[in-house]
Amino acid sequence: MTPQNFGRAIRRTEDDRLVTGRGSFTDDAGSTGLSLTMIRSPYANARILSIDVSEALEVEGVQAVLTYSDLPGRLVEPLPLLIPHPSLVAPRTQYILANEHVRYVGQAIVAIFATDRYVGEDAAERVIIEYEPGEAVVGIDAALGPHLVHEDVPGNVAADHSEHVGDVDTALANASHVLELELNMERSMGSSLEGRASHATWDRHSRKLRIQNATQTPTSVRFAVANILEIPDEQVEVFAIDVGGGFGTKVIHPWPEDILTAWGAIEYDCPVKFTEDRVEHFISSSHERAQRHQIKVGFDEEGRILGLDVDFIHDNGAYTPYGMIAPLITATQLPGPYKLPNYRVRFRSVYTNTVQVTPYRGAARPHAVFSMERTIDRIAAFLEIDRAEVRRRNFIQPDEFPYDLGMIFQDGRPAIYDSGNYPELLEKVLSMIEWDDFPERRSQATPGRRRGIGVACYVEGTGLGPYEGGHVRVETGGKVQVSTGLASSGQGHHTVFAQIVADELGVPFEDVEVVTGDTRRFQYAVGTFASRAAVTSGNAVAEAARLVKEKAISIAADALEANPDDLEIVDAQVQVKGTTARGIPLAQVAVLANPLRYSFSEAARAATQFAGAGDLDEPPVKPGEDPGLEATGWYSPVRATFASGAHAVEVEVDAATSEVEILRYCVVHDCGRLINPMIVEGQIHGGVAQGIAGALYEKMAYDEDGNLQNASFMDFLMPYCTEIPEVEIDHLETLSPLNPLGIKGAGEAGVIPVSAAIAAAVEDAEGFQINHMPLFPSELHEMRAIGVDEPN
Amino acid sequence: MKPSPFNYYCPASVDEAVQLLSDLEDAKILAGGQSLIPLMNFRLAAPEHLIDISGLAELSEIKVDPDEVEIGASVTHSQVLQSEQIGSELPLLWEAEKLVAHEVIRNRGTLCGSLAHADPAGEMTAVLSVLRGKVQTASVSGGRTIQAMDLFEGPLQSSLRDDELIVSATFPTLGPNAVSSFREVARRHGDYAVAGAVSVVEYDDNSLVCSAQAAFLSVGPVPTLISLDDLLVGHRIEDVGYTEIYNFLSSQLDPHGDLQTSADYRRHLAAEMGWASLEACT
Ligand SMILES: Cc1cc2nc3c(=O)[nH]c(=O)nc-3n(C[C@H](O)[C@H](O)[C@H](O)COP(=O)(O)OP(=O)(O)OC[C@H]3O[C@@H](n4cnc5c(N)ncnc54)[C@H](O)[C@@H]3O)c2cc1C
Repeated sequence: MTPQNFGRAIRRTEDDRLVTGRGSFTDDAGSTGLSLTMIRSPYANARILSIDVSEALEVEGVQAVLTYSDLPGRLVEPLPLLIPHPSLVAPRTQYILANEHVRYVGQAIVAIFATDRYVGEDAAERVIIEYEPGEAVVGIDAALGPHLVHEDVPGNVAADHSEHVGDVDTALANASHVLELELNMERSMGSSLEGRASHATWDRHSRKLRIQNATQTPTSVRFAVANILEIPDEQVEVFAIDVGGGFGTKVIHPWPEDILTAWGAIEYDCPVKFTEDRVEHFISSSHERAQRHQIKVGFDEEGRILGLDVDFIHDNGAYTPYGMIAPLITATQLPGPYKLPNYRVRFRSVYTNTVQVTPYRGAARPHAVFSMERTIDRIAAFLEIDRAEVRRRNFIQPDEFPYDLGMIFQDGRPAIYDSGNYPELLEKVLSMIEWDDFPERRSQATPGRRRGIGVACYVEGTGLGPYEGGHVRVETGGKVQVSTGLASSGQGHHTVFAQIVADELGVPFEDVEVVTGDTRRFQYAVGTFASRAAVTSGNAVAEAARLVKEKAISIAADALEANPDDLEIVDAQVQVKGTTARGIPLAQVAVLANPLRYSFSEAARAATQFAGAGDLDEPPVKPGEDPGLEATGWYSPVRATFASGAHAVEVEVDAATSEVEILRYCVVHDCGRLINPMIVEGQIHGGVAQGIAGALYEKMAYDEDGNLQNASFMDFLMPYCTEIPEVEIDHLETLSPLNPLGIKGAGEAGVIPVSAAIAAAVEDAEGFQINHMPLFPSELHEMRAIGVDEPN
Repeated sequence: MKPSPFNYYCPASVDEAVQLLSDLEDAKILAGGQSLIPLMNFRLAAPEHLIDISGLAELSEIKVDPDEVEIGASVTHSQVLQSEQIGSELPLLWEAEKLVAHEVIRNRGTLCGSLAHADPAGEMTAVLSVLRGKVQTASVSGGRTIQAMDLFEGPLQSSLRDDELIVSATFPTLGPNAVSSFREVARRHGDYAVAGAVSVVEYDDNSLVCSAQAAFLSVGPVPTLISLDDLLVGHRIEDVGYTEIYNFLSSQLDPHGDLQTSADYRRHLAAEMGWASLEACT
């Protein structure tokens, strides 16, 4: 195969539609039928004493008002625990509607089905709920205190997990130096432009429940809905046409509203829609990132790490639908690109009366990197060695792959780095930002400002299993239809999968049409998360394309009476290698692939029974063959593939306002072979923007009663594009040996080391330690007054 | 986030608008809707009747005289920024308008709506205060003029009566010896300021200060007007210097903290902005 599309910065085919308002998001799916409105708890912890819905039922346009006690069948059960784990000792998931207790502000209590959302909210005002409020557990300190979030979960501990390699105690005892750090990270969230949404219609004629859902995993939503409603999978179709961002929140499923819209569509025999509004997204979807880390590191005179002991607390909010995946990722990704012969990690995942915590882009890696990189910077400061040099001395070397961390990754498999070149990443980023010349630039800082520089490196496990599949079909009109089961939420899958298939099959890029996330087209899939779509679905569609190519060549060989080994496909034509003279268009091969009784076009006549093709002693479709020029390919990786990168940032802090200005932001990124550099760079831009958000702007401001005080974009400071600097990007391409395309994931990388890099730069500018993120000017102002970042 | 039901009126004249305002129980004026509609969507406000004045031609005028600029109640922030005359006669208004939100909001939001809304974080309230401007009102019982210092009573509270409509706002222009400047810090571009200051300084023929006023936004329930006359009259700002001015302003300001900002930091920032805006007037 000579790649013509793979590796090229082709413009995204989805953009024309999306930027001209012709996307098809779930809320666009029609407005007939009913709208679902939820009443949510105003208390973080309360018993529900009574609910009076009688007045709401009188509002014109209200179809039904449901509470827990009205739910039928399996809808009374708690929602599924998506990922169990042996260390997850006390998992808890929420009910579709609160069963006696509410455990966070925002928890759904009452479901109103009404003609539209306006009527629903009018009715909601007329429902009277009596509560008996209890003590709210908010924040890590409170979680470790006497009050319980779930009466039957002692100490609020959902999970308690430890892993180690080597002998940390001995290593620390023998180390020339030992330092201790306490690091804190705050909560934020993905804040997708489109919130959660589901639109369900029940076709009672064909007995199909059709669900358009803003999800990252349509196949799983389908199984969950069928299972809870106790109807055959076959009756449920789930598709995500366009999804306005997911960032992890939309991999969580089923949400209460997914089930209620589906159930309501059948019960009331009409379409039912739920479109989450922004306040609901803040208080009733998912958050991430609050962790407190205690770190002890032992190292030698050269700054080589001998032992690292990490103990951290993860605030998982009120429920654990995604198990303990987030803190587990912190634990296993914390070593990053460094050799840690002796590493021990323990975490406790604890309940609080706040919104549940599930992975958000980066998925607990920003904490891991913050811990490791802050630790390295601290070692450098202690030994007065250049921060880059300490990194060099601790790197896993390029000749040490595969490198076994000695731990179990989030896919339940050994964490073994497949490939990488960390020293080169660092050198590249250092030269990009002109690290060595920084002292000179420091002295040229804008008057009244202090300048600093920081660097941070990371490794990201991507592309994990269990599997994805892809289907490729060549139509008789020449179009190549590709489908894969995972959904797209802005990544550019339609473009990159087409690039892969075009090259593998030998057809023009423009002829390839991709559909993702539609169970009517592809029934088996896992989902879009963990930077896995390109690796898993990419390799699956490549495999499907190879199978189609094989089949096309074998059919064409018959038709051309040629040896299959002599044939190739170039520009959608099967031909004898090197000549265009003897060839047959792929579209025609597609005709021949499907023996016909009835012709439907001039071209199709060639496949009919009197056209004279084929061996009359053989059946038209030979044993072991299928009609149609199509194939399904699968890719199931043995384990994750590990991408990596290094970020460097130069900042100035204003002496008067304590505002941090980013002067330059440089990224060197290695995700193996690049399918489309422009798309990878777009992913990095978005990731870095979210990283800067988490470093300097965003946090969830809970009061002690568990009210989220900044549940709007007015007060939750998601940065605008005006706050994001230009991001300079360079790539390294260390191929992954684990998959035929040599690729690694790129979706989350941008966000991961940003907090670490910015903390390092601000620390460098200010001269006092930075131990927490995000960092607001107001705090920085106060820290300057006392000259230290007090653990809060 | 959907508003409660309301009735919508689109009067053809100011007379009709004030008549409706007087006749209807629980009615509100709707101008650009950039402050009112969000409140209604959160159901923090649920007026029964909305009287839309945004299409009233009578209220769409911008009058620029040598002494004052008068801006009608349906004039949007963007229209203020499009008026070259305002740009040359009262550049301060332009400077301040550029700090109001983002373009899409300025395209709908009105200057008079900002004043009626009486948000102490708004730039227009501060500018009206420091310039000692005024608003003209109309009602069924007749109109009146309200001076800036009498207009703002508290956060989102003005001295307008329920049956009263702002018809226009008047900003005095600056004399030939006066200089003005606006400085603020917002966490994000276009956000309400964490703190800000707008200063107007007049000089005598010897280039010594003969009057210095500063209005601060986001530091109290209403725009905070501070006179620096005692400190600066008869001097040069740069001679009095940063420390003395900063300390004086800090001592005069008593802001509150919020989710992003401690009271201390806000006081510091306001004093810094005060200094910066005065320094820019030299
Ligand atoms: C995201 C965002 C950011 C913003 N940032 C800023 C900012 O940085 N600085 C800033 O100053 N503003 C900011 N604003 C507010 C915006 O400037 C104001 O919404 C706008 O100027 C108010 O005018 P309006 O025409 O939209 O008023 P409306 O929303 O229509 O009305 C506001 C209030 O004033 C009353 N009212 C309006 N006009 C009259 C009148 N003529 N007579 C009597 N009562 C009247 C209404 O009844 C209502 O109570 C922001 C708004 C948004 C949404």
